[in-house]
Formats: sequence, structure tokens, C-alpha cells
Amino acid sequence: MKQPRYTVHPLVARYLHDLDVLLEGIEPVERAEVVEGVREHIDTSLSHTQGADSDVRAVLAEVGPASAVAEEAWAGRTSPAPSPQVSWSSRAWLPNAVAFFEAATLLVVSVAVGGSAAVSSSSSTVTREDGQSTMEVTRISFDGSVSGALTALIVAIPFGLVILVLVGVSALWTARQKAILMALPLASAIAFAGLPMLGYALIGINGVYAGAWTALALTVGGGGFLVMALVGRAVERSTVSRQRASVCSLRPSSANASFDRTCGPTGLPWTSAA
Amino acid sequence: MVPGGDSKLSHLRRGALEYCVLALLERHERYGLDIARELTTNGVLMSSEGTLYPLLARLRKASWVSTSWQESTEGPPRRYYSLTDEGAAALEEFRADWTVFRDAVDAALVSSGEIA
Repeated sequence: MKQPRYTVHPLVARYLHDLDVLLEGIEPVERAEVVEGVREHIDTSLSHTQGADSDVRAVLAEVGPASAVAEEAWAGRTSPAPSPQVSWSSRAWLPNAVAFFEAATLLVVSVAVGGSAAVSSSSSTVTREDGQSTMEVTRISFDGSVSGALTALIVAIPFGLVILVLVGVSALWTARQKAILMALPLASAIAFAGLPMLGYALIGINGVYAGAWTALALTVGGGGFLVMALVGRAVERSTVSRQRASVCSLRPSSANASFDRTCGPTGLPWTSAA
Repeated sequence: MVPGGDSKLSHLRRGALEYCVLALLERHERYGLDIARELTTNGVLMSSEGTLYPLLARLRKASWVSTSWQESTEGPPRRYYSLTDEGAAALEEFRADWTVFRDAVDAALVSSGEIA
């Protein structure tokens, strides 16, 4: 069976998007069914017209406001619904601030560890038993790993606390995502302090450099990727939240208790997600 | 709070409109636009066509209606809604309840009118 064509008129796309946003929180299958039903209705109605802007406006007027459709969809439900007000903890600046502090932590930790841990060399002249010849011995050692780790942890504490507070209060991440963001500063400190030490213990002085570069790659590559992905997702959620608040502000004259539940003062649906 | 205007109609519709949809499907299957146009004819049962779809979604979820796609000679394929056996049973039950309810409301209104 051929599926219906998708409506692409900007006014229709905007209408369906607004409707979809207003239905967030309803079971996914039912939500999609409502949106698809309205889309098909509009498609069928427009198939009898020339598809001009005026036709589209007339069809949308007959369909009624998206808020009225959402009101009907939410009727009789007690599910938590999105808030019309975007709280400060759901605004787009917050994930960007978290990204800044994560990057600052990385920088501070790498500078602190690099400054406290050092590869040192010392030379000494050794006289052989025959007393006639001497030999110069150069000792290369690596120290500062423990002190480096402590230094890294100490300098990372202020940044880590800021990250803990911002991530902790935000409604833009799940509990698991929050745990990842909170653990990253500590993980980077451990990697910078521990991997050079491990490398030195395994293969000597070259292991220090290998460990340091590995720590840098893991922190910048892996940690950076995680931060970018989680921050990007949070910014997207913040945008949806703002759009929903905008749609909810278009309160229809027939709005009643069920509409208030849709756009009522409750938390965002993903805050409780694990 | 006492509802007024559209809100009053909205309260009256709730609980009855879904059975009106079932009744429209009793004789033959219909597609969404067809049902919506029928229900919005006088603006009493439904004020805007789009509000039909949440209702249809609930009816399908309750297994009172089923859906199927059919090609159309004019326009895109259409999703047709048809009454299931469970839906037909629910409609019959509502008809019995509605008669009793309507008579009770009529009796109350007439009796109040006579007293006034």
C-alpha cells in the first residue's frame, strides 16, 4: 500500500511541529498517531484545492488550533506535562557554561600535572676498580606523579564544584548523563597523573611520554567528544523546551483544566529519566 | 466553577462524542476527514476538525475501532476507520445508558421549568 505524501507547506510543517511539541509526554505511539492523523487530514483536504497559501490557511482554520487538538489529547490524563515557563536550569546558557568549565578543568589539570611532574637527569663520574679509567653515568628519573595527582585534584576542585552544581540542578540531562559529566574532571586528573607513572613503571622514561600523550588523547578526544555530545543534546532539549513554552503561551479561549495540565507548572519529562 | 459558553458545550460533549463517532462507523467504514466533516456540520458536537484525531487514537487504543489503508481516486491514500465487535458492544451499552440519562435530564429540566 502506498503511503500518503508528506505535506511540505511551511505553514503545515509549523502547525504539525507545534502540535508534536504540545503532545510531548503522551505515549509515543499515540502521539505519532494523532500527528499523522492530522497530517493525513490536511493532505486530504488540500488535495481538493489548488494548494495556495490561502487554501492552506483555510484548511488549518478548519482543523483548529494545535493547542485545541493537544487539549483533547491530554483530556483526562494525569501525566506530568511540560511547563510553559522555561526555568533557568533548562536554558541554553547552562550546557554552554558546563562545556566551558569542563574545558577549563582539562586545561588546569594538564598544566598542573605537567608543571609538577618532571623528568630529571643526573650525571656522575664513576672510577673503575683499576683506578685508571672513569665512566660517566647518566641517570634519568621521573618523579612527581603522586604530587602531580594531588596538585591536579586540588586545582580541579573549584571547577569540579561549579560543574557539580550546574549539572546537578539542570533539567537537561538524565541521571546517567549527569554522572558522566560530573566524573569527567576527576577522570582527566587521574588519567594525567596516573598514565605517565604507569608508563614509567612499565617501559621507563619513554613510557612517561607515551602515558602523557595517551592521557591527553583520552581526555581531549574521548572526554571532549562526550562533553560535546551531551552539551549538544542539552542545547537541543532547551530549544524544544523554549518552543513548547512559546506554543503553550498561545492559550485558546476554550482552554480548561486539561489544557492547564498540558502546559501546567510541572517538570520536564526527561528529568526523571534514568 | 460553573462553565460557560464553549466550555459548557465541551463538558457536555465529553463522554458522548466518542460514541457519536462509533455510531457514524456503525454502518460503514469512514476516513478521518469524512467523520470530521460530519461531526462539525453544526458546530455542536465538535468545534474543530483536528480534535477528532486524539479521540480516534483513544478508540483505536481501546480496540473499539480498527484502521486500514485504501487507495483514493482523488488525492492521497486514506486511512479508514471501522467499528470492531468490541466497539459495537460498547456502542450498544452506551445507547441504553444514554436513553436513561437523557430521560432523567429531560425530566429534571421539565420539572424545574414547571416549578419556575
